[in-house]
Amino acid sequence: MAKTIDDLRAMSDEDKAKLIREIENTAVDYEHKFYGCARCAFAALQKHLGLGDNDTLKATFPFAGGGARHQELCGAVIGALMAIGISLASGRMEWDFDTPRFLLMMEQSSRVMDGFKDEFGTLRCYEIGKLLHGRYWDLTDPNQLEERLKPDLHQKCERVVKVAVSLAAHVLLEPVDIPE
Amino acid sequence: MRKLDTLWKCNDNEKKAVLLRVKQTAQENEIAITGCARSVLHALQEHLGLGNEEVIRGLAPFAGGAARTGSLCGALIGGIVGIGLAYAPSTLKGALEMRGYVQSMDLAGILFDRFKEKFGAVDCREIQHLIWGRSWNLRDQREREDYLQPEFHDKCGDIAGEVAMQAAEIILDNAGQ
Repeated sequence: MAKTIDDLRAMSDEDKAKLIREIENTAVDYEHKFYGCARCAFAALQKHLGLGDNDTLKATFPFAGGGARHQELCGAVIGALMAIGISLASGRMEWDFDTPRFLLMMEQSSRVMDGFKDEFGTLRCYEIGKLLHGRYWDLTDPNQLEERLKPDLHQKCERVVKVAVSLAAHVLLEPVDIPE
Repeated sequence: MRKLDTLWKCNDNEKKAVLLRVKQTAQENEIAITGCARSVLHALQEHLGLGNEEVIRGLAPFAGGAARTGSLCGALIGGIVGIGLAYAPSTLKGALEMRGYVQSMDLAGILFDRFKEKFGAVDCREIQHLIWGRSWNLRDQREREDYLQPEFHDKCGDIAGEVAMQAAEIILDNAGQ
C-alpha cells in the first residue's frame, strides 16, 4: 500500500533527506525530458508525495515560461505552491481568511516564495533568465522561443525546478497538525 | 459527457448567458470569501464543469498575488488554470507535441494579453497602484484588514468576475478547433 503524506512526515530525518533528493532528481529529469517548469515541478512532488490527481497536473500546464511564456511569476514556484495548497488548504468555498488553517497554508507558501527569492533574488521568470543566461529572450516570439528551447540553454532551468521542489518538499514533509 | 462538451455546441445567446453567470459567480465568490484564484476557478467549475476540489485546494495560496506577495494576480492564475483544465493533456510524456498543449499555451497567452490590456498590469501590487495610487502589504495583518474593506476589496470582485468571463469566453470560442 502506498505511503500517505502523513506516513512520509513521520519518517526519520535521514529518510526525508533521501526522499527530497529523489524529488529533486525527478524534477530535474522531467524538466530535461519534458520541459515546462510548472508541470515538471508539480509532477515530481505529486509522484513522490501522492498529491493531487490528473486535473491538478493539467492545471499546471499553461504556466511554462512564467505564465503562458510571458515570463512573469516563475512557473516552478506556481507548481510548488499548488502542491502546498493541495496538502494544506481545506478546498471548501467558504470564508476562511485568517483562520488557523488558512494562515498555516499561507505561512508555508510564503516560506517557499521567500526561500526561492533568497536563492535567485527574484520571483520573475525573465529576471531569472537574465541571471542564468546573461541575456533575455522574448518567449512569445516563435523564433526566439525555438532558440531558447535548445537543450544547452534550456537545461539551466533545471536548477530552478530543483530549488522550487526542494523548498516545497522540505515544507511539506515537516510534521504538521492541520487545524480544522 | 463533460458539461463543457455540451456547452461547446450552444448558440450565441446561450453562450452569452453562461458568460454572465460565470462573471457573477466569480464576483460573488471573491466578495463573499476572498481568494481570487479559487473564486475564478470555482465559477468556471460550476458553470463549465472544469476541475474539482483538489484544484480549488491547489489555488488557495494564490491570494494577494501569490502567498500575499503582490506578485502575479491570482485571478489571472485562476483563469489560466481553467484554460489548462479545458485543453491541456494529463501526461507529461509527449505533451509538447500534443495539440492540447499548444492550445492551452496559446489560449492562456490570449487571456494574459487581454488582462494586461484591461487592467494595465498583471501584478497584484501594480494593479493596486493603478487603481488607488498606493498598494497594501497583504502580509501585514493590519494592512490586510484595511484592504479587505468593501471600498477597496470589492474591486477584486470586479477583476475576478472579468477574468472568469474572459477565460470562459476563450474556452468556449475555441471549441473543436
